[in-house]
Amino acid sequence: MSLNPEKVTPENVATETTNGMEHFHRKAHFWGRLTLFTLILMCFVPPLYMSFILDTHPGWGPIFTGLVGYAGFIGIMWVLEPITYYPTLGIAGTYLAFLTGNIANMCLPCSVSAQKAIGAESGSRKAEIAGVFGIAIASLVNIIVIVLIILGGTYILSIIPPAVESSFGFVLPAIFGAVLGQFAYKKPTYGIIAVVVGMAVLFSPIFGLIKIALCVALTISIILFMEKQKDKKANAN
Amino acid sequence: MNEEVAKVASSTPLWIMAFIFVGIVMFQALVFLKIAKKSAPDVGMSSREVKTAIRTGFISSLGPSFGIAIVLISLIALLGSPLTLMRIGIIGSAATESAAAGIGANAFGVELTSDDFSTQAFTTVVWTMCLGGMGWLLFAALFTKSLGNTQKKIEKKNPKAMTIISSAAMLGAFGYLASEQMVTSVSHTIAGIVALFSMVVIMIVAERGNFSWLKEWALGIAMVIGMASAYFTTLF
Repeated sequence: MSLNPEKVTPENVATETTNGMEHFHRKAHFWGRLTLFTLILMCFVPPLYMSFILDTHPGWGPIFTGLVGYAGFIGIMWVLEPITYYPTLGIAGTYLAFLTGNIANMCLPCSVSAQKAIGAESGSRKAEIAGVFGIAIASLVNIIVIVLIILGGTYILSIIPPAVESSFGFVLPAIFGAVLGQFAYKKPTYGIIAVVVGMAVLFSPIFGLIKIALCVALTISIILFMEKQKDKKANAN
Repeated sequence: MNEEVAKVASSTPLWIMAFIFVGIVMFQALVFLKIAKKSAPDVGMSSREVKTAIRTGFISSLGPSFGIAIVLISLIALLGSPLTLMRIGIIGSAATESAAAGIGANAFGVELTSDDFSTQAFTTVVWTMCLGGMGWLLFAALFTKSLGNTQKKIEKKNPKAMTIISSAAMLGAFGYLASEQMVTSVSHTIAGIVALFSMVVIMIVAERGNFSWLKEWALGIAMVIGMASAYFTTLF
């Protein structure tokens, strides 16, 4: 299956757990990169097929214009999003989430739910693995649902009651609120801070796309500062 | 779209490509499940906890997946099924994808919904979406290793820091995302707040009563209560 068969060397007999995790990360990097690069190569196939096999090439000018337009519209997110979400996704989670998409509205909520269901502390190794289970399963479920809807689209939509369909107009605030609740129930103060920072950043007159990254950076700084203060107090007593 | 474009947009070769895309995503998910299962004992996860995590992922993903699928239908009308499957199965939200399609069409000098939207315009859209969407893939493929090394450095300096950073990053991201959604309309606000409080109640009940199964259902239940409450407010 993998290119690095388990070699029993003196070094991985010693510390079992860290090495287990090292091994996991090595494999995650290998398979993550392999699948991402495969998909990147695959991304060239449809446009090349359209242009040169079907002979509907629009000329390089429009293609270039389109790409520049796209980069101007959202290009900053190519860099910002992986960095913003990395602390919550972890190594394997990042490979999974960026291949399957829908990070905020599906991957992260499922990752957190899986972590909370087994009581793993966020940021811990256990949480990282639990999150991988959550995202990988979500990715599979998502694809199956999408394929079913695409193959039987109109029929499936016709049997969904209109009330249910309109309810789904509120799917995003409901998911985001619920995820916030999953964190806030143990530490309500931090939940309130997050919403206050979120609102403040939302209404500040800055470039829209960097708002979420800014909000994450601010919240991390504030909470780290508060934890430091707590430690100081604890040490003083 | 006109007939000629529609024929190309749902031609067999494009379907085959779409299913290769889907196959790659599924393959990756299965590989990661396998290596995570192997590493679970190393981080102190029992096989029961593995099952719980998998079940929770399954239950939690149903709601969001349907939400995604419903939005998807609007894209099919614009781009045809195969391209929709290619794009959404991989990356980006429906909103990003529609905007990207519009940008591609405009680059060729037509509107996405106009009768002049020719096969050449459609090809421009395919180029724009496929290469534009690669940005995330490239960055994640190239730089996840560096991010991992940064994490290791932070952990060496302060082992506790990463757990704080991780939950703070999550709070920050969702504090912003929830705020952004909740200012859309009063019903959106209600959906967010009701879901938040339902989740808090569910988690507290699950902790106090030791109902571990309730935690698996928490996201699904909170989401449905939030959505239903918001829907009822639209009836008056």
